[in-house]
Amino acid sequence: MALTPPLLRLERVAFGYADGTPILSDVSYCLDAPRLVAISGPNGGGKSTLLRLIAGLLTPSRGNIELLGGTVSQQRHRLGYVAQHPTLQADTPLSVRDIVAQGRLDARWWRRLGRNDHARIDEALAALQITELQGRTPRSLSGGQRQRMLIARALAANPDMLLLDEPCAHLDRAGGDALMATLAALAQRLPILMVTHDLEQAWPHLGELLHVERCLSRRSLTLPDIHPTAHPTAHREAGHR
Amino acid sequence: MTFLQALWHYPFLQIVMLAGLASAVASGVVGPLVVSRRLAFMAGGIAHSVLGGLGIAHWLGAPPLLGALLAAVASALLIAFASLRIRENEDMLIGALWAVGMAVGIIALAQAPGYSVNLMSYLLGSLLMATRDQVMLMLGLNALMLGLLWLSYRPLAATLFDPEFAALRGVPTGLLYACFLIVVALAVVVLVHTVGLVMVMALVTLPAATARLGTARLPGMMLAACGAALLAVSVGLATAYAGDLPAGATIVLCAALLYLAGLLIRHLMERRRRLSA
Repeated sequence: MALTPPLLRLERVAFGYADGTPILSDVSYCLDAPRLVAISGPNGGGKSTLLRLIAGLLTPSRGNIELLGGTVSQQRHRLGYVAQHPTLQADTPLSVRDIVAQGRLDARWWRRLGRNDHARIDEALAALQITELQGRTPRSLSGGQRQRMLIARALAANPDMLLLDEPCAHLDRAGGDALMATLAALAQRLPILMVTHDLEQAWPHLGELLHVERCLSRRSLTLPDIHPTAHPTAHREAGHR
Repeated sequence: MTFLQALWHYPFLQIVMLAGLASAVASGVVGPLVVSRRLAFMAGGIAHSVLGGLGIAHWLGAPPLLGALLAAVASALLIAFASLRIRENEDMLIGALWAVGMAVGIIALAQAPGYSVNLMSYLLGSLLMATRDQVMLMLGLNALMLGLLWLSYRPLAATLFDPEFAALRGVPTGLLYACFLIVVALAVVVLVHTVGLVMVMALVTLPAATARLGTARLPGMMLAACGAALLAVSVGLATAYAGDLPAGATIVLCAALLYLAGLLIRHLMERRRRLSA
């Protein structure tokens, strides 16, 4: 019987900027089933860099990333990614629906939206509870509503994996709890990797917790790594090698 | 004879009006994209680099609009290449194109007869001298511009307002950005003939800014900007006819007055809303 390839496999992945600053080193990890994975760690530890490497927005200086059974460049279109600081301008003159519809873009960019696309956009708007906001522009939204819009856009792409960088950063407690519940429901069928600082909020919903930390001490020459942390409910090995 | 009577009687004025209409569409469609992305300086750079093409065409005895078109498209492609491939500072390159284009144009025009007259008409526009062929070319450029935008509107909007996400979705953002700059170049060529390259930026930005006072969404903004530009061109032409004024400058002043009127109306409406609340 053929073995199913993992959803995500990182093998001794390293990344550093051109000036020689190391950000990540020797990161190995394997995700084999859908679950909500939180990535925590100190500022500058490499959490966002890790997501950007998986999304193909950065290229590892060493190591290998296998994504959804292929390379990152082959499979990145199957990802939904929401950046911590999206390049989307706050005063973008498009409606929320137009922006969520961007999730339906693909390499056939000249394609017109069909009935199936509109159904998927409606589903994404409903899943993030922003259907009533679809005619508004981002400028008129709160930070939390804008965050929901960006996640809806990622969902509209019908992704096979979601990468979210600080999805609760602009939300109040109640908004954050509601979003976490939504993400937990989605994670039943969709693997979600989420960078977060607020582990207390995420904790009840997590399937796995990873800790990414860039070692600040140059003396030891210790490079950053992922340290899977045991979770009281999931008890799942994170595949750290 | 009033402007409307003259418009009815003189075929040349009908051609002028048609050229104005083409300019209003170019300004209304491209302006909101340029203003929303804060690229007015880039439009100005392309406009001023056009003088190089105009001057060389005039010197060689070729059609000036063809020279303008080639220079504008070449500038657009150079800016796109520099910002996408060699990651050169866009502002610096635009500034250089602006100055070099003008220098080349002035030198080329100095070598040709009738230098001062032609330089002034290119700098300040020569709408009242529009010929049928020029108007046909302007309408053709408009059709090309609208066709490119119709084909690429959704991915282009994603490219302009969130390039990282668009690239993640597999959209060729570099190609679309270059395509957008070519659209801006086509609009600039249309507008240079109307108001001259010195005042192109005014027609690119003012109608779009006026439209933005009333609507925050791009399609509505484009329609409203077309309307504002058409109003500015029509009233400007009529005023220039009645007062024997330079048409390009009068059109720009009308566009500015329209914007100021829009600001005033919005201010009054907000004040009324606050008082009634």
